[in-house]
Amino acid sequence: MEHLALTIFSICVQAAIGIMIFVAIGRLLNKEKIFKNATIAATVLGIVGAVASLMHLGKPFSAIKALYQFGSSWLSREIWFTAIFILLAILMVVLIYAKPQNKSAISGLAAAAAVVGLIDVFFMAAIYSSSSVPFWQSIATLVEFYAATLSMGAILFLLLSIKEIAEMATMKKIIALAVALAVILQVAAVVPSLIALGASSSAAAHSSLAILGNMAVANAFKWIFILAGALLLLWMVKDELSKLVTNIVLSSTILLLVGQIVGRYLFYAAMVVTGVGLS
Amino acid sequence: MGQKGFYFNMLECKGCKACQIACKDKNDLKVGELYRKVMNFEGGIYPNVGGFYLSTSCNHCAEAKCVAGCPTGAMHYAEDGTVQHNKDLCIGCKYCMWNCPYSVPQYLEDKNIIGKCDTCKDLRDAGENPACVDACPMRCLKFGDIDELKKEYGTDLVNEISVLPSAEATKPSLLIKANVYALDFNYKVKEV
Amino acid sequence: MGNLINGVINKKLSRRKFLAASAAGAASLALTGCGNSLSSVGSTDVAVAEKEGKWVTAACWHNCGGRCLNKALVVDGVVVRQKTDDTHEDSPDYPQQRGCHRGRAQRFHVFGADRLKYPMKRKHWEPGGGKKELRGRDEWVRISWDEALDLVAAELKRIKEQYGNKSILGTSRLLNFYGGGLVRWGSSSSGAWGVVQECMTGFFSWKANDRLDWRNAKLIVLWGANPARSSLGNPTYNLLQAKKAGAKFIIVDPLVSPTVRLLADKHIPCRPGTDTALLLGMAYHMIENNLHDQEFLDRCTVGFDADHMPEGADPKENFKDYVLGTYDGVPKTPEWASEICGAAPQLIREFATEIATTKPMIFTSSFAPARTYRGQQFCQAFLTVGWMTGNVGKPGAGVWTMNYAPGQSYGGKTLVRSGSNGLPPAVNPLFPDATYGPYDGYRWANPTNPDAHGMAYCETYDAILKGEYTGTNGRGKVPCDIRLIWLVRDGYGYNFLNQSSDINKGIEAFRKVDFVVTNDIVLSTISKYADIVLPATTEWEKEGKIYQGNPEAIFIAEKVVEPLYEAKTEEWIDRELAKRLGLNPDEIYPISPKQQFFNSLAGAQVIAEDGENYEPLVTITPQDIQEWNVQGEPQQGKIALKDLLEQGVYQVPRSPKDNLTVVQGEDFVRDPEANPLSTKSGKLEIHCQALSDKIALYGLTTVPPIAKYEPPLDGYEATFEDWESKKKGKYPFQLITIHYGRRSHSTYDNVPQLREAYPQEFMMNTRDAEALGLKEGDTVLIESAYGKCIRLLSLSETLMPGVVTLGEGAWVELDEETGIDKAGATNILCGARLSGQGEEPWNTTIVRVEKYDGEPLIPDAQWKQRIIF
Ligand SMILES: Nc1nc2c(c(=O)[nH]1)N[C@H]1C(S)=C(S)[C@@H](COP(=O)(O)OP(=O)(O)OC[C@H]3O[C@@H](n4cnc5c(=O)[nH]c(N)nc54)[C@H](O)[C@@H]3O)O[C@H]1N2
Ligand SMILES: Nc1nc2c(c(=O)[nH]1)N[C@H]1C(S)=C(S)[C@@H](COP(=O)(O)OP(=O)(O)OC[C@H]3O[C@@H](n4cnc5c(=O)[nH]c(N)nc54)[C@H](O)[C@@H]3O)O[C@H]1N2
Ligand code: SF4
Ligand code: SF4
Ligand code: SF4
Ligand code: SF4
Ligand code: SF4
Ligand SMILES: [Mo]
Repeated sequence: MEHLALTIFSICVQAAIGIMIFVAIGRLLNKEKIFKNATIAATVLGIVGAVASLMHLGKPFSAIKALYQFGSSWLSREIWFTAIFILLAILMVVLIYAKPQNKSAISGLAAAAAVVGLIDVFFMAAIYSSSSVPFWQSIATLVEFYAATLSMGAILFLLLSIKEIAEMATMKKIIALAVALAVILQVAAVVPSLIALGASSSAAAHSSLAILGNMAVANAFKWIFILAGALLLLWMVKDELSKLVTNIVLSSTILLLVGQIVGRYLFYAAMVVTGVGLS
Repeated sequence: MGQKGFYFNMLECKGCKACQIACKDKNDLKVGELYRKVMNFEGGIYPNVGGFYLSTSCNHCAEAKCVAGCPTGAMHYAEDGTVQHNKDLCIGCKYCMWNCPYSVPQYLEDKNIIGKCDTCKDLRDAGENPACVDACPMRCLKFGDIDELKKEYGTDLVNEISVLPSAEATKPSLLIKANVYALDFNYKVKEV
Repeated sequence: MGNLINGVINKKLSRRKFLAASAAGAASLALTGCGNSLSSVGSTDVAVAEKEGKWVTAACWHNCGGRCLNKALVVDGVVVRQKTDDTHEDSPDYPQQRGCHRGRAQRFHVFGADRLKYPMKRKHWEPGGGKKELRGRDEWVRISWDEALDLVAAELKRIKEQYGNKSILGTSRLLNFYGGGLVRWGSSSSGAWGVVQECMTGFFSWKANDRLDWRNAKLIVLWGANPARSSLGNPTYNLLQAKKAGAKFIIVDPLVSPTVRLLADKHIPCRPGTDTALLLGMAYHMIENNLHDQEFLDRCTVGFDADHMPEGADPKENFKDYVLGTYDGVPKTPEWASEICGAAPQLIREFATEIATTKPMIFTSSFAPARTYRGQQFCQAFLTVGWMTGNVGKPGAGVWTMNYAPGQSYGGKTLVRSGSNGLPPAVNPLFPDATYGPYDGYRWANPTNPDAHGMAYCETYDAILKGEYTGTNGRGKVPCDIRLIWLVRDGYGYNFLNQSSDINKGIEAFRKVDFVVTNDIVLSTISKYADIVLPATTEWEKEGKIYQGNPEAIFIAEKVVEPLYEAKTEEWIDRELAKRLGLNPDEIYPISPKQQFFNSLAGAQVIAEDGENYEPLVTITPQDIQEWNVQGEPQQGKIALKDLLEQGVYQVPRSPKDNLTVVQGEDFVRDPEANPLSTKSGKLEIHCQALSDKIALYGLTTVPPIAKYEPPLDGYEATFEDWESKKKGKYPFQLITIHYGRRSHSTYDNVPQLREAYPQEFMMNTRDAEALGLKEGDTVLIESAYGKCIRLLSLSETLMPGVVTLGEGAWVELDEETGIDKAGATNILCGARLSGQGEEPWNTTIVRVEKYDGEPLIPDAQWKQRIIF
């Protein structure tokens, strides 16, 4: 349950941030496009993620107290930034409906949300990489989080705005590039980190590996899905929009999302704190 | 006031767990909730067996990661340098459980917050020792000012042994009189 | 108590609310709401605690191997916290009487959600037995006290009148006034030691030197003793002081026990039940190298060699010639011993040299090696080899065997002692010298008295099932027809269905009789298989009592809380039953519990300044007597009554230079003729015909008058199909059933916090397990010729290969379908075998181990508690 809540939270929020990044880029490239679906989706995902994160708390109704320690706690910072991101997104939606003509304000909000989101992903990663869980402590956490953000964001954005970007060639290239880059980086960062984990003398590291070993099938799924999703996408972007292409986008989205979700679940499930302890 | 912490004489511990149970009694803890725990490590081949007991609780670290990470400020330093937990502020986010290298914070299912050793501060304020210290039938646990404990129990005390994480991370206020097996990082032990 | 302590109580706790919650079977421990405020650290609630809480000295009453100070903080009728001795500064010379982890969990026990709350009856029981086969699996029905007492009295009366008192198994104060019952006799704790001590030494080496004298030893040998787990309280701490004073420790044990880890300079591995062989090998080395103390043996013992035989003995039956193999052609060389006991010959030689040449030396054994089949032989060999070193009657020296609980590191004079409670003894007419008292068969009574009616522990179930038992004194098979099992006792134990050998046969026997009645505080095994169970008060809910521990301290426990639920004392039950049986309750209990408590206080004595005489301990004023509302005389003592109760303990301060140190047997060793022992020869008897004769009187097995090794039933030799080729047989492992940290025997087994600390793991050597393809954490099936159980496997190199262990005392949890016990109750595996003086041969048990293919076990701490109502 606990792993599930955290998985939903981080996947949703990162996907939301990813989408928002491409909305911002899209609006930068073409002021006329609204990307309403994508914006709404980002907002909803943000809210769903935030609600899921509350489920992880022992005292969800006291969550507000988590804002107290911005100065020292990565978690506090993350919560601040997630909250701001969601607020900005909501504001955007409100504007899109209430004052669609105020395009630069909306674009401004999108850019702001994207920047806040990008920083938020850093905070999110810092929570884990600064913890005492060897499996989380490497740079791979940061890379994985950004990769997930970009790849999920790109592909979801594409799916949700497929009509709007049909003739935006640059946009498509950017998306394809973003997904490719993200996935390559993800692979490049994770493999050495797992090797390092294996070489580590920490018992916790080995326990984490053992847990991953026990879930080897799930782990294989994660990578196959992510890679397949990415490949499909790359292959399709060069083509014109058609029914087939839409279906392919849909499949690759699903593949990549499932891959990232499974991967994230494993990320939490393999959590083992350093050394011996009380629990 | 100097840093406060526990002294544990591994050479004289018989692994009986009186300290663990006294702590459970003092804090009214259920199964699965341990503010102090005694562990048994063994290595070697019969009859040449080596090993040690380790009685641990919160180390009231000088650079406590639980405090640094806590988003609410529930985990904090008291004036005497011990790391305390304010149950009214805690939201049960469990971040401290990920942050503490010693797995000290415990999630209390029925209270929805975490709990951990408070050095029996109420007892100490009343001029007594922590419950675990006064329970030990081998008199091998002490609590006090780290510098004074060092003065009293010798210079060969360590805050890191083979089975514990590196003391670098949090600077634990812990003094162990360790045996040869615990000090030998190449001696393979397993928890039994 | 001025400095009350605790910010702990931050909520007022209503006792009524607690009882209600607990009765509803709510939480595992319904004490939610009390206990700790971990809240921001201030001591804001000290004031509350001070006003509402009261520290009371609480009994710790089990057969646990210790006696310690235990105090309970009572708030609103419920205990919220405990502590141990803080009545004086702690020092090694004058140590606080600190308790153990079990005593510390006492409140979880007394206030457990599984406390028995109301009288209850098995649904399908009716007078005569009802559906007897449902015992242990029937439903429970709550009944009123009146109904319960009427049923019990009527059934007792019917059985007595129809079949006579000899159809009743049991003894209690009430029962003894009502004609008595058959007694189970034998020896549990001390194994084969009792009769051996009586005959070979006149109980001379039963007691040790004074605690502070142990520090004078250069070498201390602990034989089959693990005080770190089975002498809880201070003993291990005391031994550590001897080590710090320079004593070297050698420990003989199949396990590298916690005590070996803590104290041993050298560990001698020895297979269970083969200690006699090891000792004989040592004797050989000593004789061969002339290392023994011939002068001491000549002066103080008989039977060592042909020249020093007791009157009338065959000179060929001397110990020395047996060891040398003069007549049987088998020299008991270290090589010969090694093949049996597993210690290397060279190690045996070194060990023998060390004990023979290091002086002064303490040579002390616990009971475990004597809890073996024909355990007398070990006892004989141990004493003989000990005496060969001449370490008797000197400072820092001794050969002792009462290495049990307080006897471990304590000895000498009793410096402070309780008075008698004044209650006259209640003699069982069917077992004249068995008075009703604590459970240890040997000290209970003398079953070789021809008027004693009853059977050895291990023959109880056969007696019920087959209708006859072995009569002592050559009485042959005695017929019997047991209809009733009676177990209404005070807080002193006796859960024999769980604690005696062969539970499977026991259950069969329980399912044969007409009626089983018990009183109990929890649904322990014997109550689970009963028909009517009466809820008993714990000692916390009774009038106070003095507990005697080591010779230096007594503990004065007071009533901590009012009886929980409908619990009643044994005295109340006996009185109510007496009325229904037409007996006079006031004759059975002529004095009140309060008066009994007062008497034991008034009669308490403490050693005087001179270190010789005793004087009254307590000062009692006319006002005290008035307040207590008892009969008594004012007296002058060392401490005022109120102060003593407040303190809860009286401990005689000690220091190494005081005049209280005692060296056991100094006089005898100086001049044995002038100070003879109460043995036949007046000396220590290496050749002891009296022992051989007495054992024969029990009618079970026989032993020769000197220490000889004969392979025991179910011993090491029996693990082989073929000894010569060392081909293993059907049951290749030796099981020892150690006294386990979680419990005092079966008591405390149910406390979840203790279950968590001590998981009742089945332990096996890692390499043995590998050979069987078993892994850490596997659920394994352990099977003997008598029964089977499953447990989670724990692998350790602290076990001698070929030896496996399980802690004795787990509450049997039998799956009737498969016949498998899930709890790891050792007496499922240990067969009921008749030996010597009725000792139960637990530590000679052989088993096989395999992976269990059924559902894996979950840890005991997560099991559902036995909550009935
Ligand atoms: N925790 C705890 N302590 C207890 C009790 C309890 O139930 N729990 N019960 C108390 C009571 S009533 C008693 S009688 C005492 C009993 O106390 P002991 O008689 O000392 O019995 P154990 O603790 O079973 O065994 C002591 C050591 O003997 C070893 N041993 C077993 N068999 C043999 C053998 O054949 N040869 C040799 N050389 N060693 C052997 C065991 O490995 C163990 O390390 O304990 C008392 N203390
Ligand atoms: N396999 C194996 N078996 C052994 C041993 C061994 O080494 N191996 N050791 C043996 C030894 S040394 C001993 S001494 C015996 C001990 O054997 P027992 O004396 O039979 O065991 P206990 O567990 O002490 O029994 C205590 C009983 O009293 C009940 N009780 C506890 N407190 C109270 C109370 O206040 N009031 C009432 N009415 N009842 C109460 C408990 O529920 C329990 O049923 O076990 C023996 N059994
Ligand atoms: S109470 Fe003392 S001897 Fe027992 S385990 Fe704890 S520290 Fe060790
Ligand atoms: S041991 Fe863990 S919980 Fe305790 S102060 Fe150090 S980091 Fe914090
Ligand atoms: S669980 Fe409580 S103490 Fe721990 S980090 Fe979260 S708020 Fe702080
Ligand atoms: S100081 Fe108190 S809370 Fe901390 S481990 Fe000891 S008994 Fe437990
Ligand atoms: S050794 Fe016995 S008397 Fe002492 S605290 Fe433990 S259970 Fe109680
Ligand atoms: Mo015993």
